[in-house]
Amino acid sequence: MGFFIENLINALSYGAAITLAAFSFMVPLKATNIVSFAQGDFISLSAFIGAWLITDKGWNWSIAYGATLVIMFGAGVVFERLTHGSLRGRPVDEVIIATLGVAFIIRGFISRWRGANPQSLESPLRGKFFTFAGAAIPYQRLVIIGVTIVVTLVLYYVFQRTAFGLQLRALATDPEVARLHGVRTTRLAIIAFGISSFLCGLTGLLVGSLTSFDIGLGFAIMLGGFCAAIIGGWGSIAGAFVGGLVLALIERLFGAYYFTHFREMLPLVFLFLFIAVRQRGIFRGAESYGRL
Amino acid sequence: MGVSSSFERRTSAPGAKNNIRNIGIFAVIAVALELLIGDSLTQANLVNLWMFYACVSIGFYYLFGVSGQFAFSQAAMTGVGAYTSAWASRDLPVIPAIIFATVVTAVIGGVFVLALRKASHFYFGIGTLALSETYHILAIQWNSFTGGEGGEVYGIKGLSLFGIDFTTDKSAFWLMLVVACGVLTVGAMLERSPVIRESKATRDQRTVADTLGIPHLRSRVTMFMLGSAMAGFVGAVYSHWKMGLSPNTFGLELGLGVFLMVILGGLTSKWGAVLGAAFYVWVPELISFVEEFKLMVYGGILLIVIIRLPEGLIGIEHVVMSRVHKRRHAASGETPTSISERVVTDLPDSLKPVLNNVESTILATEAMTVRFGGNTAVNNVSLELKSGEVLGLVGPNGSGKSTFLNAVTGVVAAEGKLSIYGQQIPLGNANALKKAGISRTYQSPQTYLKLTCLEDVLLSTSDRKFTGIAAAVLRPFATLKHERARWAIAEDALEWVGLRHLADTKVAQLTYGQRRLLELARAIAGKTSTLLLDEPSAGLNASETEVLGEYLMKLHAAGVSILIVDHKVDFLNSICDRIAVLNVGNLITIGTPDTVWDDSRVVDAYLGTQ
Amino acid sequence: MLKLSNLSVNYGVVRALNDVSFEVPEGHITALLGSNGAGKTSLLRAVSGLVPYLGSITFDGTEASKLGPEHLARAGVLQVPEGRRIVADLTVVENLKLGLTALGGRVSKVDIDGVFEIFPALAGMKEREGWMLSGGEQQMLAIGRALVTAPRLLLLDEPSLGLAPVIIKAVYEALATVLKGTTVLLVEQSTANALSLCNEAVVLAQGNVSAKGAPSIFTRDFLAKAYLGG
Repeated sequence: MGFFIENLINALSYGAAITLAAFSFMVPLKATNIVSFAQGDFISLSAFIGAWLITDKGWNWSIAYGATLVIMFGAGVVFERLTHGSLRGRPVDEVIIATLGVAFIIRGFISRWRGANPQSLESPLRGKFFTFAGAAIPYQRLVIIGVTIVVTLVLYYVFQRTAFGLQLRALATDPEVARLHGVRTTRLAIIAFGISSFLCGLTGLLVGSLTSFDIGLGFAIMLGGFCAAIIGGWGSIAGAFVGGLVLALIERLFGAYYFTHFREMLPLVFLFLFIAVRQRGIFRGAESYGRL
Repeated sequence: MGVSSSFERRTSAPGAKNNIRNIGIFAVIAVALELLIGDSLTQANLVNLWMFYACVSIGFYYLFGVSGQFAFSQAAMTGVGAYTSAWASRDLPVIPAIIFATVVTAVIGGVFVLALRKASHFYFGIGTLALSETYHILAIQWNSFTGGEGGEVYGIKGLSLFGIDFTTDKSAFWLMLVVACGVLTVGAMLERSPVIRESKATRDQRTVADTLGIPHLRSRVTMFMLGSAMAGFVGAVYSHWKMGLSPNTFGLELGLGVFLMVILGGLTSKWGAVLGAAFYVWVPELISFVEEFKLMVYGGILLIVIIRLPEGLIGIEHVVMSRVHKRRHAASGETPTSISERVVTDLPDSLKPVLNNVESTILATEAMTVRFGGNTAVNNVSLELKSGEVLGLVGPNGSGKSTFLNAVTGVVAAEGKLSIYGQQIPLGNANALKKAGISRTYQSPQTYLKLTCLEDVLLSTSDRKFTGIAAAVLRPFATLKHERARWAIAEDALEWVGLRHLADTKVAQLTYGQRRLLELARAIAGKTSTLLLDEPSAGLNASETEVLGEYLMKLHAAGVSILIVDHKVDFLNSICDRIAVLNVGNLITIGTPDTVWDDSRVVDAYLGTQ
Repeated sequence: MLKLSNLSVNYGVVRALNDVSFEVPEGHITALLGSNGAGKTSLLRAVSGLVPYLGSITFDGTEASKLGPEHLARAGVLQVPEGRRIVADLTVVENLKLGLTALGGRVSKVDIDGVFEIFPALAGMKEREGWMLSGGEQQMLAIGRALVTAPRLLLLDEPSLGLAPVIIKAVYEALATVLKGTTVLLVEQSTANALSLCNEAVVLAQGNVSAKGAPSIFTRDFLAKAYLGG
């Protein structure tokens, strides 16, 4: 029983992390129709920045985390200017390649700056856990789940109830009409990218501080995020949440019992079968309007 | 009465200039390099790596550059080939193992594309990322297959042929050279077949390609298989050259690296891949700053190139050539703008339609209806196009004229019945229309900017024999024979519209009026007996419209039936036998040019009065 | 308020508009008529800053090209584009709220409630998503979305396009009451309705101005010639 609960919590917190990753690329996607492949490296970057501020600069964890998030937001703004902003009117493939270029740059920067060895990011809850029905449940994992639920609700609220969210949704469907009604597309794109990197930062700090991390931290989470978004219905917030949950349960819970050595492959195989059979997500997402 | 060709027929394939020469130059450069620097062990390895990466990138060029499939799987496929060949060579000799590995890679690629065929562009890309990650996990975990621990494999059988052992860097050079030239030769053979241009057509404008009868799924699947197979093949060779493998050789860094190689070198030619590979291999070697900050520099280059020089290094050649082209045209005094100075001749025999003299009605719709959400764009329209006539279709803006045409040609979903030569055919069947000799043009000319004029016209060919990759590689002579026949017809069409001198010029450099005529040439080059024209005079001035009218009359004289949607009243009156009027999706009346405009219902429709 | 001088619009080598000049005085409704391809939509796109142009377009003295669509909208120039183009996945209320973006925080004397008064049919479907509306309802929503800010200059592109005559009548009746006092440039192919509403009319043919004047000069014969030729 304890084994089951431990792996269940593990799965839930992993699902939460990939849901956050999914959100991080969905926000700029809504604003600009661009898929960024640099999310993984942004996630890794934030963990490294956090570790550097705490370990090398000796800052208190709360200040370090806050500063990291602010830096990440700024990095997102710069990212927008380099990719979307420099490639107005160009085919989408070219912008995606630009995001690949940025991914390369960030990855190279991290490896030059901090090297490829495992790093440690301090967290107030590190190593603390409580026992329940024979399972050791780390507080940190519950925090990740909690933060994700909060972020989901906040994002849902922002998208559905605020003017900003409304403008983003209009922009995603018909950018020209949005402009004709005064929507400031450039400003929105910049903010969207900033929020995206902020979410990456959140993910990196939360997951990086669980145990140790290295430069490959973000890649797997980003891939999971893409898969979650596809399964849940591209562009749907609720969908990403459900998709993340489904994939994490497959990998971390089901995979704890069967195919354990190959469990990382399980969500990928599921994804293939899913796309091949169903072609669209669980919820009505952007594809139902033929916008992909 | 027709015009027989009075010009010299071309002998070289469009877009396949000087392949033999270029491959020869490449081989010479490679040998020269080997002789000059091959004594140093590092350098010898690098020369071999250059050719290795070049092959992987050439495969990626076909898959991504030509076929437009955004994929992260190229490095993984190389790895699949390598590990599979290593596994197979435990029981088989090396060469059969390599062949086996190549086939396996191709099959995996093919199954993958077929499984995800309905997936959109982004999903497909993410799918390839997942595929790549799957390979990575298997390479590390599946020890019984790889024969190693965590993907580290040693003691793979080396390749030796005719007593020569190809496992040292110096001897492997000759092996890699043959492999690279082989891959380039396969590419050259493809360029002498319809494969490349049809793949580009499917990539750039799929709906139009469908209407032209190009099998888009076959194109996508075979190009992906080809690109993956090239990677798998050269990966297999690699494993028997190095006799050892490590999963990171074909990992994420190479996966991103192939993007860098083809983008930097240039996505418009296989030589871009070769150039990019040279850069990837030698620049870190020559500039130590680059080696230290390798990833950052690569990322920076990728970013800068895509922003400032999207056509890569090869693109520089294009910019230079097009400036030369412009200067040449200015010097020759030809004003490239208007098409109104043209002598319109009769339609040549080779383009004359084969007429079905039995049926008097070519095309008939019954109760055709098109709805977009709550809006009925076409309402219950029953219309007949009679054999040999020119039927005009007019109506105010929003009356549904173009939508009607789109419904007939299957571009939009519709209800109702459609029959061709008296046989009912299901709506949305582009192939049936093409087989019946029906071609269409579009409101703005849907010509392919990235193809040359000749390549564009060749797309509509009715001869679909020997058009695939297998035919190009396995039956090159039959392929070439059919190509020559196609070139002849396409050149006749270009000559007829006065564009033959621009046959090898990219369509993007043509003026609007020239593209209109090019589209017309393409429409009649495919054994066409019926033309559906959508506002062909849009954007043309009065004298240009007159010239267009003359061309249409020549087609009419040769027996081609025409349904023309337009709104220039004088133009239509001069060419149409009958005119049908639509308003708000309904057919109001059909009459002759003399009578229809006096009908008060027609005037009401245009003025919006009731 | 809106002044066009020697306006030309080219799409590559195709000249859509050629040396067009006219004015829309403040508070007037000017109709822009002409058949297919006459250049009417190109003109409106140029006024809204969506396409580059040659010549001059000034709104209250400021050149349009210097502002761009977002700023023009915030300055009070609202366009209802051809084909309605309401945002399909947003509800009626959300579409109207989108219209409010151009206010930039200012208060409008029309606002969303005002639009529901003008088009009572919309009030009954506030939470319905755009794609579920009929053509006529979509047209009313598109117009309402522009009116919600009480625009200083309203550009209407073929509001009757694709609508049944009964619906067109209803839309124009609403326009007649609502547009009093607003400066409007109304592009239409359907002449009778536009002429009944406007203070003056301009007819475009093949990109050029072929006639200008008060509605009374545009008799049926005059128009038939202009639209259909000799």
